[in-house]
Amino acid sequence: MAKEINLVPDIKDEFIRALKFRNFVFFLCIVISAASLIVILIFLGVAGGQQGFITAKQTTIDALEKKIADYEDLSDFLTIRDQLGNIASIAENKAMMSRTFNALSAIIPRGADYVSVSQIAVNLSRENDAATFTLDAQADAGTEPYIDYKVLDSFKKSMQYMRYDYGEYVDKEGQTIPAYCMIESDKDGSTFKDKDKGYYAYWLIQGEGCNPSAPDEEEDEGYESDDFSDFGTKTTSTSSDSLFGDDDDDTFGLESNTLDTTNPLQSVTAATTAQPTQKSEPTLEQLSTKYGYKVEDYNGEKVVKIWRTPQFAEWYKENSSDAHMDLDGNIHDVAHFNSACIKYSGTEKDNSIVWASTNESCLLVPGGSDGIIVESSSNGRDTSNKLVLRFTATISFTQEFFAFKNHHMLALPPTGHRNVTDSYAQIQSIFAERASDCDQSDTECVTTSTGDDSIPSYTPLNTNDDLFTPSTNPEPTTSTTTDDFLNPTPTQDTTPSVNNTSEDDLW
Amino acid sequence: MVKNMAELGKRAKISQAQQYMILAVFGAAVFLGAAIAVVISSINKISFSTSVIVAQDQAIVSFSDTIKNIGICQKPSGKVYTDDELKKCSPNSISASAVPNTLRSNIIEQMASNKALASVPNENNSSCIDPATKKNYTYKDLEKNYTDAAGDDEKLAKAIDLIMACSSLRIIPDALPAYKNEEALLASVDKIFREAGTEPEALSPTGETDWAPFGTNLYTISVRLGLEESTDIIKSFLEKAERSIRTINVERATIEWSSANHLEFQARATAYYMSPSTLTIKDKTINPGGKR
Repeated sequence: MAKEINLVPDIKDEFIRALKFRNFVFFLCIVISAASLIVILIFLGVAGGQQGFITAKQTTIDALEKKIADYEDLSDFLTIRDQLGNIASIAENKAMMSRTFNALSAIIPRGADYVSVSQIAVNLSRENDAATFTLDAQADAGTEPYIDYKVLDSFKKSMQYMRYDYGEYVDKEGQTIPAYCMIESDKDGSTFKDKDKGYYAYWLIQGEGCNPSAPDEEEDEGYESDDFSDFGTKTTSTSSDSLFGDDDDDTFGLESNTLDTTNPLQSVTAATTAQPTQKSEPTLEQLSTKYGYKVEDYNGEKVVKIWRTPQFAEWYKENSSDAHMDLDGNIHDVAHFNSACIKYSGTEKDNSIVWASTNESCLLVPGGSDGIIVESSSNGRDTSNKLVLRFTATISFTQEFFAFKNHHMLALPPTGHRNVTDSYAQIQSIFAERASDCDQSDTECVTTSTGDDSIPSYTPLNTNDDLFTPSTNPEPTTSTTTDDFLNPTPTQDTTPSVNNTSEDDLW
Repeated sequence: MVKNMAELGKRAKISQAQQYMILAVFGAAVFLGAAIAVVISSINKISFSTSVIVAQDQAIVSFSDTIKNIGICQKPSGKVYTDDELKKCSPNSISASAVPNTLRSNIIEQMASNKALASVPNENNSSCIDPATKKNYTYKDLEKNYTDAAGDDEKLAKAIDLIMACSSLRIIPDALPAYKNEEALLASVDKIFREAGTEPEALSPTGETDWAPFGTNLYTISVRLGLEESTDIIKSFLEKAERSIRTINVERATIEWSSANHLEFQARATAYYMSPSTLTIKDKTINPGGKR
């Protein structure tokens, strides 16, 4: 076995190791330094590049900003856009005070029991949960005892049967007819109603934008459309544009003798339209053929009658292609009223169809009997010296009834009030002079029992100053529940048919 | 002795090598430390700059969308406008038809030609009469005038003014004025009274103005009114007020028996107006620490 002998001295060996280690450390340091330098350069490069990006983007932003600033009509268009949005919001929150009269005609009993209103404070503010009527009224039982809480009882209990209905009139294509195209009441203010067939309205089919299924061109051209080419004789015309262009003022041709010569606008219009054009009005038959509806004349307007109450017998025809209504209450191919509240259905019984209508969701006074709070009452005498029960009460109506967005609104009284109309005369008759307090010397007046001592004594309504102060729902200091003061014996008016389940009940 | 001398020389060289190593390590440490410092600083700066660039990108997208949606310039080829596209854009010289489906074209072409609005009786306005035909401008006239003016800032501005004043757009400021004007409101209410066939017993501003609880930049202005009339007149007044182009919201009223055929009606009516809308450019501050 050979034996190795180390001829290198120890110090040299140590020196060689030191040099190797030194070289390794040098290499490592160079690598680290180089890497550090590269990293520094990279990061500085990125940072510098970003700064360049930022500067370039800022230039773009400045250019974009300048384009916006340079556009002179920007504020106008933005204002118009916001105006349009706000107009929609305002319409959404708009209340219809005129419906007060329709609501009054429905809730105020005008039968044997008689309630007259001397003052009513109406608050339709959308800030409140409910619309409120605060009545200062007097009840007359009609017969002895004249001061009878049964009248107030039936008045209060009738609230739970009050309904309302709204919706849209549609043509036979199912297209909604704009609300402004419908006439729903006569000159006396009474809603159109046929005693046998129910409610109806008149459709101004020739009105601007009133015929939703008509092609635009037909509406534009009015009588000059091809279909009317044989109506009347147009003897001369300057040009079709000047007479029947898009300008509304001359769509139907102005005649010089109808112009107000003091109106400069009309005068200049007359100058170009004075060429005589003799056009005879189309007959109702021609209009009926043209529109596909039976056109009638109502106070000089060409109208189409649309039934609000479904005509069950006419519209439902079993297995007939001429049918306009099915047993589920769906109506089609006839101009009709799409109610948002009333559902119709028919069932076969003894070879005939029994139709039912329900209105469960649209309660005029959602609280029912609790929706009216009688705040005070007292004995009094009306202007004809009859004994009456004076009272103040607050009724809380649903806000939906007064909402502008709900069209063709109608308050539906219970069956016992069916003869009520909403004519102006009827509305006026609801109001009466305030009954006077009992004179202390009037023994009959003073001693007649009010029937319940728990009701606070009568105090007139607040003055107008209070009315105009924004208020929350009225919270009377003393309230009386039905059980507190009402006679438990039901009167005739307190038992109307329940839940409006038949056609008669609703209409 | 010689051997010792050689060993001493070697040891000196080893020591020298160690000194060089220390210097090299020190130098490398300096580089590394500097690199670490630069990296940390750069990371902060890059992070901050990235936030700034992201915000700038958002601003560019937002500005581009605004310009595109309003119709200030024609639509960009990409998502945002390039510098070239911006250079070519002349906001006051392009017609609405060149920027379809924008606020500008929707208002000029659709709202201005709305027939339902046009059916509202036009108030006499001599500037709305075409000098050539002596007739009211139709929307087609106004549109042609506008289209012909494309490219000419001054003519285009005049054409837009004419559309605003004479087309269906004239209804909008009537329906909701962009300024408070109690006298105009009182005049409107008074006109409704007269159209209903009566005169007001009382008509006065309440002096109250308030923010409307809904809408944008919307304020309320209210008036008190009163009349003693028959039911049909009162109802007619209310129905005309409800159909008024300018919303006159009668929310509170008292109705009182007055005589056999008259009622006394007192109410507070609310109308609305708004302040003109402007485009507000907001600055967004980004701090290096990350807080905005």
